[in-house]
Amino acid sequence: MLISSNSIGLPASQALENAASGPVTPVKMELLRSLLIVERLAEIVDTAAVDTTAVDTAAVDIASADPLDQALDTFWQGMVDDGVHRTGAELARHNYQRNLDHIAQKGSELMRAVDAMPSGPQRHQAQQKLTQFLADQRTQIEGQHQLDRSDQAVPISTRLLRSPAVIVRSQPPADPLSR
Amino acid sequence: MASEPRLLSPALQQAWDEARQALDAARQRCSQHGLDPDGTRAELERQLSALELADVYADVEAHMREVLREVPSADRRAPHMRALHLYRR
Repeated sequence: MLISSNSIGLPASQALENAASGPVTPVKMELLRSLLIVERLAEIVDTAAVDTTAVDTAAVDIASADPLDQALDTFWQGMVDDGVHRTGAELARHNYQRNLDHIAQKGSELMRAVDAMPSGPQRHQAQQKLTQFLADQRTQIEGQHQLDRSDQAVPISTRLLRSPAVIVRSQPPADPLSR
Repeated sequence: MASEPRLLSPALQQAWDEARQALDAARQRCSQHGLDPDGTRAELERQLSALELADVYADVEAHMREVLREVPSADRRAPHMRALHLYRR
């Protein structure tokens, strides 16, 4: 009876050699298989960008987005608020501090992830992108905070006349939880 | 070979962890059979027949296709499939 590995044309000498090698051949094949898979994955890992483990990507089109872009798109998701009802200046101060705290915490998490990338142009690009993103977010929050503070001194009738464009542009960092 | 990945997408991290565990298990079995657990790919390829290699390559390719279905496209920029095809004979 032929061994299975000889069923499609192995020379008889090779078949005998394989048969003589007994259980070690499957072991070698398994080791080679594992080595190849690790090698293939390593190639992918080397070019993968940044961790998305802690990021909720449910609402993100992961088929087209870079992992860092995914993380930035969902940057404000998961921000924790204490749920305490506030109004006026107290609300503005609370939102301002809450947003800055979130930037500091989430931003440092992402920066650690970026710093963990293999050194090279890709990491440098990711660092620049993240740094710019965080700076933009801080600028928007500062701007919104100034707007909120000035709102406290402006009659409601005047506030309602503000340009919608101004309100829309400054809205996301003001209340990221509603995104 | 790449260094240990520290931060990856969940699917790729899982695939990597499983692959490393499988490699460790394969090396342990090699030791149990008196084989070199640190045998290189080239050494193993020399020791196995063409048919056995074909089986291994086909298995690896099938496994990678399965893995890649779960890995976000952003993690799949490497020319791994082209590299994989180079192993075909």
